[in-house]
Amino acid sequence: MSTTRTIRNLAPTLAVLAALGTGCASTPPPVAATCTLDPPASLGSLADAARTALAGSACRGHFAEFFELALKRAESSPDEANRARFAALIRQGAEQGLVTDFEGKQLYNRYFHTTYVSLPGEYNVCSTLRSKDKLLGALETELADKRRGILTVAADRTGFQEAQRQYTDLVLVLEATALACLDP
Amino acid sequence: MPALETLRKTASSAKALEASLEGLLQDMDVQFQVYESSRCRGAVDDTSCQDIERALRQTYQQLLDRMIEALPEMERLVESTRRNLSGTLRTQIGLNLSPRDLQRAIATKPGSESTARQRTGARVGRLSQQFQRYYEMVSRARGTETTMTMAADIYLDSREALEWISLARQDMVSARTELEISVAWGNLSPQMMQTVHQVKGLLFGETPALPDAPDPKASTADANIRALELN
Repeated sequence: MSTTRTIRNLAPTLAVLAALGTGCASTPPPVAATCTLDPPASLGSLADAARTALAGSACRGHFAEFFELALKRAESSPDEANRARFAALIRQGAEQGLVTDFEGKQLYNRYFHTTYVSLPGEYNVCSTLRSKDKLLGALETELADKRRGILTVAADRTGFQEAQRQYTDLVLVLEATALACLDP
Repeated sequence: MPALETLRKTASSAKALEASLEGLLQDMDVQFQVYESSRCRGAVDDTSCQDIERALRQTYQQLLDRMIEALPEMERLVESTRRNLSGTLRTQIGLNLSPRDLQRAIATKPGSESTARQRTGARVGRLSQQFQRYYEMVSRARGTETTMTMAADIYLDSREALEWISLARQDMVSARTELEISVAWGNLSPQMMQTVHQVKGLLFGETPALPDAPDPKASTADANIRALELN
């Protein structure tokens, strides 16, 4: 599968349509800017490639797509060093203002750390478990993301076992507490 | 955590019931084999078959009587454990922690408290061994903080055990009624072996299998990773 994706920036196109609506038919339509994202084959230069690719105005809002394409590319080159490469990529995105520090941490930990970022901290467990299916669904999705990041991309079997252990324990305690919260 | 004494009593009560039924169950197996190998099914006029059948019914009657007598006490003990743990889980985790707090608590105890088995809905091992294991685990864990998953595990198992016991109580009473009717009609019910199978399932369960616990992940020296990782 190609890791190159061309994303058309729709803003100029919309501007053209608006201009047509006002009767300015003689104005030539501007050429739509395109965003081409192509993570490097050598993942060692991932952060540098992101800086260049995402610097232009056309690609500015597309950090998430670049990250996803980079993950896809890295899946075929598993390496312990990939964890640091993706951390550098996220730091690069934060420096360019493409992701906030909070978003960067969420993104990194979702894929490359053993603890789960899908668990909310606002309310107590009994209150949160009123949407138990949603919570357990989010945990399961994050486990799949960790499999992809920790195991497939970073080739860290031990780390993924720990993520699985935490998932199993969390589900066990959440399932039991959900029942206990409803006990008379 | 559940009162240690309740766990110990549950294990001891289950063990006593198992011991008192083990001999009866073996007798029933032998008697049933003899009954089948002698081709007694349908041979209503054969006096030796009538003797075998009478002995089989008597053993079965004893089995049902013992179960009916012992199950209420067993149910009371398991219910006490369940109620105790329900309160612990609700107040110490459910109302006191957020899911994120829970995550932190579980993450900081890598591999230390998992009872390391997948919950399949089927109990593993003998009922007495299960509660004996819990008794030992809780004894060892006293004074430590490594009891969260243990409490959850014992609580869920207690609920399952209560469902089994409740079903078994109803079935034993029905089986005894059926036995009385079948004695009157002179037929050996196929339900008998199913009831025996149920008793074996309740008391003796299945063979346990414990997977290895994983090693904790090594920390990293990479500055970018350190900056991003959750504490």
